[in-house]
Amino acid sequence: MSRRVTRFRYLLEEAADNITANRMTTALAVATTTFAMLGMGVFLLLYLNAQAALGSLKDEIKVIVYLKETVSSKEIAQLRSVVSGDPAVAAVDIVTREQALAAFRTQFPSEERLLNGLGDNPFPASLVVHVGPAYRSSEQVGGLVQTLKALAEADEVLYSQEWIENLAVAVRYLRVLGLGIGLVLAVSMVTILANTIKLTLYARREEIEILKLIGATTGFIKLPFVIEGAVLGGVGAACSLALLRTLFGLAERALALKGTFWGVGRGLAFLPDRVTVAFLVLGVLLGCLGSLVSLIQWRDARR
Amino acid sequence: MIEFFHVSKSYHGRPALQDVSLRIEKGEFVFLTGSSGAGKTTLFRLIFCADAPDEGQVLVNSRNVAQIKPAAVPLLRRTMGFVGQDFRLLQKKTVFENVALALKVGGASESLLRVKTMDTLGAVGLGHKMNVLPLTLSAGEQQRVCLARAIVNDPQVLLADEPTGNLDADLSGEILDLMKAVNARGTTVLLATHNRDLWRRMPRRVVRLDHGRVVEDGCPDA
Repeated sequence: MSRRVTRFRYLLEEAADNITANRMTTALAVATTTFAMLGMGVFLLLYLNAQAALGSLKDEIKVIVYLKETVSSKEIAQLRSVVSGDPAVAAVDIVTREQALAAFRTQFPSEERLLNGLGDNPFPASLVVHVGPAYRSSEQVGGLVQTLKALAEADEVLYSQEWIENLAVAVRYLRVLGLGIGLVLAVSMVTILANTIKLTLYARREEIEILKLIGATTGFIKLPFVIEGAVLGGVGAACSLALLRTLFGLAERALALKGTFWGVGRGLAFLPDRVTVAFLVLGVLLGCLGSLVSLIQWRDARR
Repeated sequence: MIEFFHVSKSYHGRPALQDVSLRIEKGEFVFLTGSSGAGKTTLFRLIFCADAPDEGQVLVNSRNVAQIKPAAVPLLRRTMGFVGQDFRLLQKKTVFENVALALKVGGASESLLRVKTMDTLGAVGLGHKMNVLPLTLSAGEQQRVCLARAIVNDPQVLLADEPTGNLDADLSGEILDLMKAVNARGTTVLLATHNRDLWRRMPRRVVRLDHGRVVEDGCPDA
């Protein structure tokens, strides 16, 4: 146990020496890593929020059937029964003209004047048709919409399917774009860290020779450099997360995005805990990779 | 035991060793001499597994160094100590840390490391300077630190390549006495030098190299 402690302590001390020996290079490496990972974080944040919004919207696919003014309350109730009988329909809510007016006044209290000159109540009654989970494909929702449009009582039918699908396509593009940019940033980060470690290797080449001379194994010689890369990557990731959190808070306040967004009953969310941990681990792994690249490239005598 | 069988080695077409055959017994003290470029350092590099021979075989403790796997090279080196002309000390580490490093790479425990390092520093007369940095030491003292680092592991073989090259006659004598003491403990010592005073002061076997060939092998007084 004591042997391992001695060895482990030595490796950590050497890594710390490497980091503190070239402070300017280390600071530049951390700064670059921070900004590279910040870029990745921004895309990750956008993607995860768009994905969550999409999932939430998909859960609430609904078709609104605005009814003609001539349709009576009794007919509306009968119509509800008919529509509910369709297997694609999970539930049907009735919104009376009075409820529609009340909802408008609640949601847009400052726009009351728009109602002037439009009579007592310009809003039509409507049926809000909730689509069942098994019937949410484009074709299925399209078929339901056609059925509803064919109803004699229906004046206009609106549904959210099309723009949800457009959003899904946008999210897919965002994922591809994010992966592409993330890959470029990751490669840049690895390259920069590899160059930083290469500078340390060059600065300590004499020491490496001495270690070889006294019988140090490759692992003993190289591990401090891998630890150095891991620390630089990890610190860069932590700094980028802190920066991302700050920027997220500022954006939230500036844009007043709390509450609902895109009709989704939740505001924008920061990265979940497990994603945050994974992000830190990614930084550490990319740092290790940078070290390994520099160690492989280090054209030193094999022996 | 170290054995060379018809060993040749060239660097970029220039022969450094040519058909060298040599046998050094366990516990022997051998001076290796010759002018610059005679092949002394190449001979050490082959023993130390820093290079492999182009022809012939080099056996160290009955192991053919050309056939040792790279992963086993550090283990072989831990059975040897090396002292060079340039002191090759880590300037940011104390004398104690420099010497203890040789034990650390071998995975010695903290307690063993402390005891052996202090004993060895005491043996080379530097026990009182273990906490200072090498740059504050004289050349002779720095070479003694190197020697302490080379012997702290109780090596079977001590290779010294011009260890007194940067030292005056008195300090050279001190280093030679220390090596004699190491040899008396059973360590095979191979000392490369072109300083005739050293082997005159201590009559032992002298192997003289010239243009990569062994041209003389024997004890001057024999």
